[in-house]
Amino acid sequence: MRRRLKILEFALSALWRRRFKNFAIVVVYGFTIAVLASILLMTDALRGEAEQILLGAPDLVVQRVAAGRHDLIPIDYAEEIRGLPGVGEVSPRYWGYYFDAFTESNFTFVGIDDGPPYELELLEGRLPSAPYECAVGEGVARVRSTGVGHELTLISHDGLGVIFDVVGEFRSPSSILTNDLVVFRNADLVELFGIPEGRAVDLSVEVFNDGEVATVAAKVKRIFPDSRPITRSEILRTYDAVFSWRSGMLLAVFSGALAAFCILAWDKATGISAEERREIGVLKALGWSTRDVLELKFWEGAAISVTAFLLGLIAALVHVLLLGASLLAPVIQGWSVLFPEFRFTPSISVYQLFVLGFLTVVPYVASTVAPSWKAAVTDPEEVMRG
Amino acid sequence: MSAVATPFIAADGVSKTYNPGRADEVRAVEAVTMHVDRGEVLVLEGPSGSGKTSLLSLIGCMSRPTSGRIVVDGRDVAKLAEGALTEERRRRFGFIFQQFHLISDLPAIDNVLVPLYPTEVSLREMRGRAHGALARLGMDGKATRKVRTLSGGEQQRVAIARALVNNPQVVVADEPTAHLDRRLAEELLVILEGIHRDGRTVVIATHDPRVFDHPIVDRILEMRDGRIVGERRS
Amino acid sequence: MNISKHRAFLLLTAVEVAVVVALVAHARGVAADLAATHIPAKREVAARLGLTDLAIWTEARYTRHPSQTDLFSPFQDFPSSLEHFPAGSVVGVPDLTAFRQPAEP
Repeated sequence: MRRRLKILEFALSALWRRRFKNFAIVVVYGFTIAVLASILLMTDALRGEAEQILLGAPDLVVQRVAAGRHDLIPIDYAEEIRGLPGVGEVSPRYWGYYFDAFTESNFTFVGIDDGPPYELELLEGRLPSAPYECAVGEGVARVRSTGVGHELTLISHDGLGVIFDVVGEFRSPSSILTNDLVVFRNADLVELFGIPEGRAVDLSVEVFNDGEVATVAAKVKRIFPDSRPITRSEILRTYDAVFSWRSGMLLAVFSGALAAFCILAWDKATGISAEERREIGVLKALGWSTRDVLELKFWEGAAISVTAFLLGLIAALVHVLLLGASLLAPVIQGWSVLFPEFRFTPSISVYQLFVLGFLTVVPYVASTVAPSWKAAVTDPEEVMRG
Repeated sequence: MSAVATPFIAADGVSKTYNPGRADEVRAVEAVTMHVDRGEVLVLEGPSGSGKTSLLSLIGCMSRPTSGRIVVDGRDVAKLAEGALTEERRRRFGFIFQQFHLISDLPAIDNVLVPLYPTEVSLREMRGRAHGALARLGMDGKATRKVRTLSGGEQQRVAIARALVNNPQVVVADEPTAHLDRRLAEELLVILEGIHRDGRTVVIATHDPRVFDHPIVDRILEMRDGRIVGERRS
Repeated sequence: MNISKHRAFLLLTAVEVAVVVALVAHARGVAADLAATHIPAKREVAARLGLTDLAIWTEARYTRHPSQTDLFSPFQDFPSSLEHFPAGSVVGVPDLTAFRQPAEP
């Protein structure tokens, strides 16, 4: 153990000798890791969030497909679907998109059925219950400078301006779900969008037994060949695929960055300069065994990569947990005007951190040790002859 | 004079070939049989290319012979595994290289410490020994100076201190006076004399008459083309 | 002599690990808190409004509602339309295996 620590001491001295270069490597490497770890943490959190929240989504959504595209569905379909065993409520859903020319942002319009005034914990005010009332998401309120007690003017499908009273605004914590929403009564939404009578955007189906959902979906498809049932598990699976850290984009970026870096490190070391080779020969001549030399190279690589990994990880954790990923969010935002603030539930998998650590440290150490291998195993005299 | 005592180091029919079987094959040492007695000062004399450096490496456990035996203090070192050979080398031998082979970015003291790292000696004791070795050569005052700021003579003293820090039984020097003027060469020989007086064995490879004509030398082996062609007593 | 390098390095590394552990513990704590409060509330909103997707990308139909999109979205308004950046590079092609016809009885 003492010998090991002494070799570590010598390794650190060797690194310190070229401290500016090595410091730069730690910074660059650490930064790369910080970015990647941030992405991993964020997407993991989002996936966890989606998984938890969308458990409230409908058991089954039935859409209609015409000419390969999503089309409006006849409300009559609901009757037959309701008749299927295990099926409860079947309600028409009304929702769609609205391009607000004024702010150049896209809103999502959602309709709810009539009922008494309804309150929600994450809603300031209430949901609309009378004609020409609406509730808005935080993002909508912000870009249109409106809020509870104020008005919102929208353009209907036939080009006419319609004024709505804002009776509710969704609170910040829900913005990941509600940021771009405007919620209306179904009747108002039908009028706004000009949806023909007897049609809905899709149907929301309640299935009593979770295990039965797939069966019901299959039956619906059989009865209405032009329908497209979407189960809740499929909804959740979408988000699993989008935010899974194994999915293409992340791994591609990650591997690319890491590979480029290791190639750089390898490239600088593979020529293993004549001077480095001579130094190894001298060490061996002075009584360092092959194992000692390899251990030295190992510590040189490990010291840099472990430090870079830990510092990068700390930066990522601080960035995502304490700063709400404020640096990365704009990168993912693209050209969306409305983008929710990432106040999501952090979710950290120790397994993931381990894998990240492994992929950080091992290639770098390997690219430090491997080039020295030949010199390390050769008899010192031959190494020094050059 | 018959030597009844077993020699300290004995080479028996030893050969060393570099790049065997290839176009650039070099037979540096050919079927050499020689010995080194304990406590003597032995010189390997010959022009460059005569194989004296290679033979020096062989008896100093720095490389392995292509054929033949090398016995150091009763142990056949040619057969040893790498780890054991390294330990023999570290325990018994101290090397002074022709080009010093110091790490120029490091201070003198750190250079002297290098052979002590793979040992079980504590860091504190290491520093003590290193300072001691430098002090013996009058270099302790410059212990923290980077080697590249030292003169040629000073660098050689650092190299010698490094060779002595592990308290070796044998000091091996390869062309130690090659880059030295007369004054420094004489100083060096005085140092070697001191080393010898401590009871150590000294083996020197050189073609410098200042060395092999010096009174401290006990025996001289003449080498030509990888073979020993003559032996004389000083 | 000042503190040896290996001690300084090991100490620094230990501090870094401690900071990581502290941050992770903090995150877990925050997560537990939110799980008890905000998550159920958000789920309530999703249920009451019948929402199926998060409001992350507010571009058109295929990225705002990736779970509700057409069969061959998310890249196309029409067969040869251009991809929308950056959403198009993040949202993958939807899993079409769910839409196989069920076997005839």
